[in-house]
Amino acid sequence: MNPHDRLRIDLAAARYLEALERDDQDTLDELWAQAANDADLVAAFEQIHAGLLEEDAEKVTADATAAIADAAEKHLTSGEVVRPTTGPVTVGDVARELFHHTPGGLPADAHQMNERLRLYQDELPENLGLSSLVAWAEAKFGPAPAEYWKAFRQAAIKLDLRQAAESEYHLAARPAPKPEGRK
Amino acid sequence: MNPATAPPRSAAPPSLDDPALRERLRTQALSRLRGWIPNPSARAERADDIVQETYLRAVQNLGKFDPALGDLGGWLHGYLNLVLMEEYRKSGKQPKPAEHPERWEDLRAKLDPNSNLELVNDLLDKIPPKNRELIRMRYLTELSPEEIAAKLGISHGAARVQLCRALAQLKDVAGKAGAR
Repeated sequence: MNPHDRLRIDLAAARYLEALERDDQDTLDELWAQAANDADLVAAFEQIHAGLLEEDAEKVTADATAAIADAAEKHLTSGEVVRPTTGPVTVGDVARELFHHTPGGLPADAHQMNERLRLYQDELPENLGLSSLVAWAEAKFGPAPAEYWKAFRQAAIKLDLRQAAESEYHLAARPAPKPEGRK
Repeated sequence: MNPATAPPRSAAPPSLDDPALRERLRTQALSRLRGWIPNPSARAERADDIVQETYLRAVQNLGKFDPALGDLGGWLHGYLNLVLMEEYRKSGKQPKPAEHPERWEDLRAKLDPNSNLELVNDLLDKIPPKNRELIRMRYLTELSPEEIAAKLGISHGAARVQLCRALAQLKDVAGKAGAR
């Protein structure tokens, strides 16, 4: 396929997706008339259909997962919904982990600090050594009891390890692409 | 009867029975019905009926199929489109015509292989990095949607849809820049 054909197919496909999403039947009709004698265009349209159905299926799964997680959080208050982490571990993730698995003997001001940190989306620093973590956190969020930062660090390392394990699992479980030419 | 003078068999060409082709038609029907029938099981049932109707019409008009004018898949897709158009009219929904369709032609001119690359780069800077990267992979590195899919670890369909969305965004950015 030469560069002109590639551009022609891509733009027709993009118009097709736009028309599908707007229910623009006249444009769909016009594009199908163009595709009648153009197998590459038909193949591009078919890829769009498959892609849209895949998006639908992902949305159905995400909606069902969210509904189950909401119900579990509402009715099984002693339980914990472990969500797969999708990005870097944040301060809020660690504070939520500590909320669910609070070590005994923390003073009241440690709990107050933890409540506050649950709202922060700041990414954790790379260096999770106790002294550098405390220096970083106190500069950002203010002072807290030493035992709180110790518990915070332990929870941060646990989440960091969990995320690394999940990433490896997803990489290993990634489906192999279908061989070329298979429809 | 001498086999050489026997009339041709009237059975449909084997490719009309191709399950992969039927599945592709069903996928088209399902994705076209997304906007009209929100319930997935009702949509799947209606898509099956529509594909059935498409095959019925195709078989009735099989004599009109001319392989010199295109392949059977394209011909069947044409019938499916017709049935879907009728279905859409019956649904009583109001069509939503495209906004600024002329902007697609403007984009074609801007992305033309002989056009000014600097202008395209200016436009690319105005779209999010993910879409910018997709456009670059397609038009600068000249990867196919299948190669892009393999690179990103996604399906061919997802790569095609993302590429289309990136182009639509580039069209809107180019249109807005031109309107100023």
